Amino acid sequence: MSYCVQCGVKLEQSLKNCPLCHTPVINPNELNVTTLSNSAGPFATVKGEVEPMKKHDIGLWLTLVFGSTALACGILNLFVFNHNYWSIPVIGACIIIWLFFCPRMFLPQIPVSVNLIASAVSVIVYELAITLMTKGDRWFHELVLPITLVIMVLTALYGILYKFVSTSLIASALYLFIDAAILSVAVECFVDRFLKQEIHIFWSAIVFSVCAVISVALIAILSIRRLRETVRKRLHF
Amino acid sequence: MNKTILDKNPTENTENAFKHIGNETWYPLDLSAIVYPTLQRKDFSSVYRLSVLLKEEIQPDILQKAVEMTLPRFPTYKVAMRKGLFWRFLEPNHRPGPFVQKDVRNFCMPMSFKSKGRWLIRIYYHGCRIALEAHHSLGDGTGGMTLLHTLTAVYLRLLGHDIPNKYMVLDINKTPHPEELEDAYLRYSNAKYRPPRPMEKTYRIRGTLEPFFTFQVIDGIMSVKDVMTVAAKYKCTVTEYLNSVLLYALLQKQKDDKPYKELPVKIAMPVNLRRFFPSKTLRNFITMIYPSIDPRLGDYTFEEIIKQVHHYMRYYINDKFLRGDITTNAATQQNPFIRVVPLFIKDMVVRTFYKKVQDLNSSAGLTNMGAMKLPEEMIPFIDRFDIYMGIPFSPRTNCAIISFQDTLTVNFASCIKETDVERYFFIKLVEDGVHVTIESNR
Repeated sequence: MSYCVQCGVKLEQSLKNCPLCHTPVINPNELNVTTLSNSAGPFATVKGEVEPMKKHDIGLWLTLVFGSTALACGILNLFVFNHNYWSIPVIGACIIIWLFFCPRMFLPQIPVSVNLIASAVSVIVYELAITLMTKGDRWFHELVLPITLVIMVLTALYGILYKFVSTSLIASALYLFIDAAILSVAVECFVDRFLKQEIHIFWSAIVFSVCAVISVALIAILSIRRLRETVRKRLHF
Repeated sequence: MNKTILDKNPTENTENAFKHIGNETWYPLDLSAIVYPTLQRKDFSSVYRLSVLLKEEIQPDILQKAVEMTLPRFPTYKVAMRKGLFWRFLEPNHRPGPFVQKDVRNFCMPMSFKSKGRWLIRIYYHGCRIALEAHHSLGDGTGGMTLLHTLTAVYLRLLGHDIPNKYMVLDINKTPHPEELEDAYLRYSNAKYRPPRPMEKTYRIRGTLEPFFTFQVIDGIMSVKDVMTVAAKYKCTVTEYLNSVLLYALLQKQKDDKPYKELPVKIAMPVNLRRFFPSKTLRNFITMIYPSIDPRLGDYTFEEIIKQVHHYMRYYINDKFLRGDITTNAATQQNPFIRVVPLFIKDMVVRTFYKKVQDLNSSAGLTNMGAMKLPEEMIPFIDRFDIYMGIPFSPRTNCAIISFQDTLTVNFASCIKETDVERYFFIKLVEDGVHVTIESNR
């Protein structure tokens, strides 16, 4: 057995580094002997598989709540208050919420991206259904559809960055500010084009500038490790 | 004990501890146990682990037989979790198992209520070690340790040794005493005043999270005599000394972080209420106390920390304060308006309260199981015991202490990469002249 030269504790035979300070264990008498690396430790080495948590109950409960709401509204619309198709927006909203929350509760293996795409498609169909119920479809083509598509793209961008770049709190905040900046400009462009037929950026420029400044500060914190650690420790998060 | 307060009759209390529905006996969750299932996440379950290191290699087939013989004696551990509309219950589990299994590196894994036969306990073996993992909803460390002692005694008997029923080794041929199944909190939640719960933001260790689900432990093994000598030098008990060392380590860590504003450092420490309120219950019967140091008041020397912890313990650990604490905790559960709120709403409220208040109320956890007493005939077969508080709810480190004969084990469990608190803790022990041997799965 060896002692850690930094901490002064005695180390169990199978340890190659001190677990407290990570100082390597080098025993001059055992430099050419393989016993150190071959000795069995006090702990098992095989990693256990964590059982997935099942959320069938919540999924079933949500299905019942939204299913019964949609069914009740449909029946009322058909047989009692049948002067227009008022139940379609309610049933559509139930389907969208169900598609957003429930499929992964029953089948956790469904990728999040597939779930999000299905939800986005259902939102577009829902908006289209409302358009068909109202007079004129210009607002759908020029306002609702472009904004929905931009939100979809930005959500996808957030998901890709979160999955492949970093999942930390500061990084997530950065993605949100970038998304907010792009969305604000896009919304003002689409609204201006719809209302005035010409694009004149005003309030979104302020939002964009604020988000850009915050994003630059966050990028600086993320890229300088020492600064990142200091911020995290000093602000207790 | 306060004579003006009348405690409930044990018989009257045990009648409320279980309900007969058809041929089955169902157990409502005890006061502490109500919280644990609400905190269940895909990466967190309130699972603790107790293990015993024997002197000979474990024979799995005999251990399995011992489990099958022992478990019927512990009806509150042979259960599955069941959801009602307003509360959760424990129902008897007649499914096959639990089966003993080879130990894993990342122990205290989350425990799903609906898979693996719905068992809420796991039994592992590795080399000379038998490990019991139990969901905290079933019982506290004392209950779990009674099961482990009895299981080990039955295992040794099957190997041909003569082990009597004594201390925590129960007679597996006897029917359980009704008091073993009771929710003892209800018997003693009768103080005339309900002291408020401590609610103060404390220093939190922020580290780099290990990948899902990695469970890192560092065990420090030392001589009880060594630690007692040092504690005597500081004129305090072993628990007070180790508590102070942990507070000292946390203060050092906060200083290293150089925060703009220092926060109080607080330890959540469970107290075994059986010491003050007679009960044979094998279910949860603990309450929390919070020894703390506030560095905003000035720099504390180690001797000052010990003095503070020593007086805090003397002031708070007595039947008056503990009874008040139990009454405060029980009041919420017994409120008639809260009782009729559906379970999913209760879950949301409890989870939010725990995340926003309770979890922020302490910097680390520390539990001391004390010295294990075993029948004389069993002692030659046992090397030592270990206890792990399980994965913490939020990134931090938990410390558990247990001793047997002259071996005292301090087990740190953590899910973060940094080991600063553990390092400061053990270095302080070494500086005080305690000889420490380290084992780890890191």
